[in-house]
Amino acid sequence: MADKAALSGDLQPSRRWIPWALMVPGLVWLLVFFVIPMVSLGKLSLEHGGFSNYQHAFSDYRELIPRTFAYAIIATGICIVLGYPLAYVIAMRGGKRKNLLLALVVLPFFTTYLIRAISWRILLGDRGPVTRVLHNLHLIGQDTSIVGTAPAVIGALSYNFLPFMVLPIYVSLEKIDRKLLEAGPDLYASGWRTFRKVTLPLSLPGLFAGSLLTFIPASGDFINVEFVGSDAQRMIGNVVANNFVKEQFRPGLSALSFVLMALILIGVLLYARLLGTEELI
Amino acid sequence: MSMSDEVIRLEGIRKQFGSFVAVHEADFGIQRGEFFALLGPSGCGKTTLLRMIAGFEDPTAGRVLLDGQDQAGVPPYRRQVNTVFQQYALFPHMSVFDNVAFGLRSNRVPEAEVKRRANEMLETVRLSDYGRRRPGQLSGGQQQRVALARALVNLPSALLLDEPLAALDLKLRQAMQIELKRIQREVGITFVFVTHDQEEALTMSDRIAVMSQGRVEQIGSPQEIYNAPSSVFVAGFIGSANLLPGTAVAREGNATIIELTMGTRVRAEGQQIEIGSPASVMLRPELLNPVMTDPGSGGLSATVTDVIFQGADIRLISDLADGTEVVSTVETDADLPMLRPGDKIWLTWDARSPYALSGHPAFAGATNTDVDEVQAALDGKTDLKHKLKELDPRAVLKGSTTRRNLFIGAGAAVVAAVATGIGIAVSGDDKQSSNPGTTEPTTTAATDTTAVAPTTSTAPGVTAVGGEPGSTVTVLNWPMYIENDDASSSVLLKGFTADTGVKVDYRPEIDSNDGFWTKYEPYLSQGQGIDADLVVLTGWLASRFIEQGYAQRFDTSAFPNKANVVSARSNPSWDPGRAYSIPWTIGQTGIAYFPDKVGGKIESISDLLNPALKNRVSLLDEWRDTLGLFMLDLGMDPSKVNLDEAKQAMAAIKKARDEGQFRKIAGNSYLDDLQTGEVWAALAWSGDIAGLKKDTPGIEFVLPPKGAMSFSDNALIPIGAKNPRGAALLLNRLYDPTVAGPFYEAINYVPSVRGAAEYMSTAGRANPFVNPPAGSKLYEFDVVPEDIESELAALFVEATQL
Repeated sequence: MADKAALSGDLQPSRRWIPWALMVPGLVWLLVFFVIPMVSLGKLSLEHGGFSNYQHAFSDYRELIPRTFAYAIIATGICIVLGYPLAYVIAMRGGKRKNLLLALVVLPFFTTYLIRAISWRILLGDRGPVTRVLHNLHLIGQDTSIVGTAPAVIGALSYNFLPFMVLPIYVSLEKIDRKLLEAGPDLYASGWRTFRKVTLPLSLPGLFAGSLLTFIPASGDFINVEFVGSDAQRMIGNVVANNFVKEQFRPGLSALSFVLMALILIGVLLYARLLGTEELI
Repeated sequence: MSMSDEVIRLEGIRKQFGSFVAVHEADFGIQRGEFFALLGPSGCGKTTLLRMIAGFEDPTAGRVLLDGQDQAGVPPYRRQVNTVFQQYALFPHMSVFDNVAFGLRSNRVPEAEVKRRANEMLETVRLSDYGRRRPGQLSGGQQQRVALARALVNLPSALLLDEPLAALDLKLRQAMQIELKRIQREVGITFVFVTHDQEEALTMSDRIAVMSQGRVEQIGSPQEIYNAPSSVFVAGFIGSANLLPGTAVAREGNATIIELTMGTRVRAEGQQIEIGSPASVMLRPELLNPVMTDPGSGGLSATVTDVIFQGADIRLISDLADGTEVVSTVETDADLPMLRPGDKIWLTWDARSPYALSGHPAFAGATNTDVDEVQAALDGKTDLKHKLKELDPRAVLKGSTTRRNLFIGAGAAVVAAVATGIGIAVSGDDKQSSNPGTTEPTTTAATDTTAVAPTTSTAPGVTAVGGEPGSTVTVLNWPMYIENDDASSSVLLKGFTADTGVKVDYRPEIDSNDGFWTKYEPYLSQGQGIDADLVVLTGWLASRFIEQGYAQRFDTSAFPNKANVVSARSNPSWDPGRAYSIPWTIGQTGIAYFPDKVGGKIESISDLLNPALKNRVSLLDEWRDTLGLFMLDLGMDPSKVNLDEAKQAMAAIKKARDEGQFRKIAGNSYLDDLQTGEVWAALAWSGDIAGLKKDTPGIEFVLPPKGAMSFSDNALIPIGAKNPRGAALLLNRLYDPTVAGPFYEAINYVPSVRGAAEYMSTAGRANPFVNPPAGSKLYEFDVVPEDIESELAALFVEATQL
C-alpha cells in the first residue's frame, strides 16, 4: 500500500526541500505553458462584450456543442466496446505474444495523425474501396457517399483514439492479481460473475483513464471532420481551428473554448461518479 | 476409518507441463475432519496437487474424487472446496464483510442468511468489528483471518490452504498456527494445508504427506514421519538429523549392522536393508549424548567447532574424524563442563536411537533444515528450479515485467505527446510563439494610423543601398502565383538577376490573409520588419496594411513601369495613385461545376440551391466572396455594401445551409472535394480551376451573368524591408508588358498591365481566365468600416456556424 504520509515526512529535516525541488521544473513548466496561457485566454474571452461572449458561445453554436459531445461520447463508447475485449484478451490470453499484440495496437501511431485521417478519407471516399464495395453490393445507392456522414466521422474518431482506450485498460487488467481471478471461481462465482464482480471493478480505473484519453481529445478534434466529414458534421474544434486566425473572433472563441472545457469537466465528473471512481480525481 | 469417511481421494494423479512432470503419481485419501499437510520444498508439486483438487488445473492422468464424486470436467466454481490463497487474494475493492459474503452470494443464499453467517464467521475469526473496512486497511494477520472466514463461511467439504502463513513474520506465524488449529477444531472442516515449513507441518497436522520432486515420499502422522522416515530425503527434511552414510554388512534380528564410510560399525533398527547395499544411519541431534571420555565402543570421537546457547538447550556442532559435521543438542543443565571449540569429545547413543535407512544422503552429516539448502542438495536441482521458473506463470510475468513496462511507458509517452500536441496546436496561434526569424527593430515605431510611411525606411540613402549587385529581395507570395512555383524557370524571374544584379528569394508560403495578419501583425505593430521585401495580400488586407502604416511608398525611380497599370486599377480609394500597392494578380470568384454530374448548366447561385444538388455544393469560407455572390444573385451591389441588404443575403445563405444544401464551407480544400467528386458544384477562384482543368476532365467554370466577384492580390513593400529598391525593380519587371504577357498567360490570371495582351499567344488571349469574356460583370467587395466588417463577419459565422 502506498504510504500516504506527508510528502517529505520520512526525510531528515535538512533534506525536506528535496521533494519540493524535484517538483519545481514540472511546476514551472505547467505555470509557463499552461497556467499563463489559460489566464490570458480567460482574459481574452472577456474582451469586447464580457460575459455576453459566453452567452454567444452557447447561442451561436447551439447546434455544434451537442453534436460535438454526442460524437465524442459515441466514439468513446465504440472504443470501449472494441477496446475492452481487445485489452482483455491481450492481458489475459496474450501469453508470449503480448508484446507483439500491444505493438500492433500502437503501430498506427507510428504514422502521423494527419496521415491516418487521410487514409480514412481514401478508404471511405466516393472512389475508395469501401464505398465501391458497398455500391457494388447495392447496400448504398450509387450517389450515396460515406464521407460526409456522421458514421464516417465517428468511425474515424474511434479509430484514432482506440489505442488510448486499449492501453490504460490493458495496464489495469494486467495489474490485477491473477489469484483474485481464481478466488472468484473458488467462491462459486461463474466466469461471468467473476468478471462482473472482480475483473470489471478492478479495471475501472483503466476504463476511466481510457475514456478520458478518448473522450477529451475526441471532443476537441477537428482533423477527422476536416477529412471525412462535411458541413453537417462540424465540431467545436473546427470552429476554433478555422477562426482563431481571425482576430475579431478571438474573444468569442476563447469563451467557446472555456465552455468546451467546462462541459468536459462536468461530463468527466459525472462519469467518475457513475463508475464510482471519484477517489481517482 | 472407512472409505466413506474420505473427503478427498486422489487416484493415480499425474500432472505434466509439456515435458516436465510436476506430479509423478499421487494416490492417497484425506479423511473427514483431518488436518492434512502437503509438505515439501518448493517445486515438489504440492501446490500443483492442491490446484488439481481445487480444479484450477486438470490432471494429465488419474482422478480426483470429492466426497466420492469424480471431479473430471467440474469447474472450480462447482466444487465444494474453498481455498485460502497465498497472499490471501482478498478482493481489494470490497469491504471485509462483502469479501466474506462473496461465496454465499454466488450461491444465491438469501441475504438475511448471508448476513447472519458472515457475521458469525467474522466472530469466529475475531474480526466482528472490521466488517466495513477494506482489506488494505488490515494487518497481515487480520487479512489472513478474513481469507479464512471467506472460505470457511461456505462450509466446504474441505478447505485448501496454500502456504497461508508464509507471508507472516515468525511471531505472528506461531500465533496463527495455534489460531488455525483452534478454528479447525471449532468448525470441524477438513483442512488440506500446503507448506514448505516442516516445523509448521509437524506442529499442526494430523497427517503429513512429504513430497519431493513430484513424488509423495511418505504419508503418516508427524511422529511416524519424524521417528521412522521412509527415506534419507524425508529424514533430512523433517526436523534436523545427522545422516551418516555406509554399507549394510549384517543383520541382527530387527536391526541392521551398518559399516560407516569412516570405518565404525553401528547397529540400527529401522528399514530392512539388503546386505551389501548402500545404507545410512540417522541420528537425531537430541538422541546424541556428548561425553568427555572415550566410551570404548559404540561412540564416535569428534572435535567441537561451535557451541550455540539456545535457552532451554545447547546446540553443539562438532566434526567427526573424517570431517563430517554433526549436530547434537543437550539440555542446558546437563552434567557437562563448559565446552569450547577445539575440545575433544565422544558422541554416544542409546541402543535404540540409530535408525537405518537405505541409500545415501546428498551430504553426509547434519542436515540443515533450511529449505533452500536442502533443495540445493537435491540432485539435478538447479535444472529443476530452472524449469519451474519457466512454468510458474508468476515467474513468467515477473520476467517480462521490465520490457512490458518499458513498452507501456512508450505507449504512455505517445499518449502524452499527442495530448500535448493538441495543446500546442491550439496555443501555436498565440502571438508570442510565432517568431518569423531574426528581426531587426527599426529606429522608429510606426504605429501611427495615418498612411504615412516611416521616414527612416524610405530615406533615399536606404533605397540607394538596396538594388546594388549581390543584394537579395525576399518575396512572400501565394502558391501558384508564378509558374508552378518554380522560381528558376519563371518568365518573371529568369534573367532578373542578370539584368539587375538582384537575387530573388521567392517563397510561396502565404495561405491565408487572416493567418498572415495574425502571424506578422505583432512585429509590424512594434515597428519591426518581417524579413520580407515584398508581400502579396488581398485587397482588403492590403488596404488595412496601408492604413496602419505597415507599407512603404514605392521608389518610383526603380519602378517607372508603374504607369502601365490599367486605369480601372490605378486609383483605388484606399491607395490613391497606387503609391503603396500594385496588383499582382486579378482573378474572379465564380462557380465551378461538373455538367455531367449536375445534369446540365449552372449559371447562377439560384441554380446552386437546386434541391437536386443537396449536400453536393460547397461555399468559400472567405465571406466577402460568398456573401458578394449571393448579393449579386439577389440584385444587390457588393461594391457598395448596404448593411440591410447584406443581412438579407446572409439570411439566404443561412436558410440554404440549414436545409443541408452545402456539403462544405471551406478554404483551399474545396479543390480536393471537387477532385474526388464529392462536391459537384462549388464557389471557386478562377486561377484554381484553370489549374484543375489540366487534370480533371469535365469541370467547367462560370461567371454568373448577374455578376461575379473579382479579387485583386496586391504587392506591397512592408516596413523594415531591407531591399525596397530591389522589390521595386522586381515589380518594374512584372509591369513590363513584354514580360507580363507570357507570365499571366502561364499563370491563368488577368493581367493589370496595359498592353500585356499584345505579347500573348492567340490561345492566351482566348483564355477566359486570363481574358474574361466581354460583358462579364465583375465586382470587388466594398472596403467597409471596421465595425461593419466585424458585424458582417459575425453574421457570416451565425449563418454558417463556421
